[in-house]
Amino acid sequence: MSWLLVPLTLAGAVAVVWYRLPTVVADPVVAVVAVGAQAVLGALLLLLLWAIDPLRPLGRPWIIVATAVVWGGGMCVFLSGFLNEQIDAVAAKLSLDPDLVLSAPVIEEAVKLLGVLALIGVGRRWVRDPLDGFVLGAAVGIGFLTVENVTYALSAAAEARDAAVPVTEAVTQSLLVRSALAVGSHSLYAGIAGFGLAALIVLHGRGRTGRGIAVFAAALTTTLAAHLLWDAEWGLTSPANVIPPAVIAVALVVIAAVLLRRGRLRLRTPTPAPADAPGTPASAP
Amino acid sequence: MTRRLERPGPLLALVFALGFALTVAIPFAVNAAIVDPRVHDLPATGASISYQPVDGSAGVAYRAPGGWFYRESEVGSDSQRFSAPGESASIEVRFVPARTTARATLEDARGQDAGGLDLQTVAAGPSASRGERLWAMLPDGGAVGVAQIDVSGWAVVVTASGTAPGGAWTIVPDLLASVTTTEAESHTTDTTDGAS
Repeated sequence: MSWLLVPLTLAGAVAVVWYRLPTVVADPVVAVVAVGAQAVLGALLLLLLWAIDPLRPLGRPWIIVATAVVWGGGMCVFLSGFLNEQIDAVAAKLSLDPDLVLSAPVIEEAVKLLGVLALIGVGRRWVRDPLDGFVLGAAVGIGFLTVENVTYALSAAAEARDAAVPVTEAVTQSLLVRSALAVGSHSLYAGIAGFGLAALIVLHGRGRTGRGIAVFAAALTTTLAAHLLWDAEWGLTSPANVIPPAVIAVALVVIAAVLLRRGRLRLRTPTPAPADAPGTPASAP
Repeated sequence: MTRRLERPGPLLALVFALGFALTVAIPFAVNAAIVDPRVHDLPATGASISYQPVDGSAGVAYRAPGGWFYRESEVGSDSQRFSAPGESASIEVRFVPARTTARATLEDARGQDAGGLDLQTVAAGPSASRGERLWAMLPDGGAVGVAQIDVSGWAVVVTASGTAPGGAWTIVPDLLASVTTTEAESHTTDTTDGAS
């Protein structure tokens, strides 16, 4: 599948740069600052992911994680840019509540999950436990959120200029708020969905497809619901209204912590792997 | 353990390829398949559409063609699309930042040189504001035009496509001739003036 994944990943990275180039050229200083800040944020989040990864001692090629990040920041951001518009147009035609944004959860999570699927395809040997899917998904999410944060900073600069308000203040606020909320958003959406997808594949390999489907459905529902609620119009200009999205972020962190803890327990008590499923030392989730 | 990446089964590759294609195609297909039910007819006298810059400076307004209709999803604060009855023709009107000349504004808005266009000057209506108004037929049978008012930093750019009503795009110079300045403070698209 690498013949499909590699060109698509590279095409996505080139496309997102090409697509966003006019805004970068319009605000080169903002672009450099935003890219620098998000590179630091991305590095910190990847370091955190590396530190909490219970499967790290078993090894995982760095190229898989790197491809995940590029997929998230490239193809996911590029496709979401115009596919979200199509879903938004459909929602408007159907007179759906404009405070509930359907496009982001549906499109962004679908494209991120496709990346995890492709990465599992090329690295099936390293999908030994559903937590491998969590790591891949979180890496895709980290790529997505860092590049998206850069685009938001550039948009904030353009809007501030149009509204004749200080650009520095608008860009700083955008970067700080979105970076502060980074842990509980895209990385965990994709991480939890990736966990579900990997669970489906691992459990299917063990002849427990039904349970795999149930885990996948639960993970996907959690991800979509969290993303949908997160993107709802809470009116964040009022400090009190920050509470609901903060609760969502905390809930996702708790879910991720539970998945990681249970994963560690599985890894401490390995069960014999079937002969036709090499590299699957852990028991079912 | 070897660190070589594996070849996945053809089924997984097929699922990925199919999933990718569907993820891209379905949003476009669904959007194209659903006709916007929120259609509004413009009255015979037309409707005034205005744009007011957020900095409070002078904006611009024009008169949309009477008897045409619009869909809510195709009308925004900075661009509007109107369709002729039967959808045989449509015009897209955009509010854009004015450049040094109307020609430069048109070139900037279209993203291409206007050298190949036979730009004609449009005479302003009696109640219209002073400025420069140009329009031209396009090789594909459509038409383009621009109206740039002296006191506003914004201009109106019109693009017409489809079959010209009555065989001529008189609707384009008529719309350009109606362009005036506005001084309102709010950043709105006003479709309440006669629009139903």
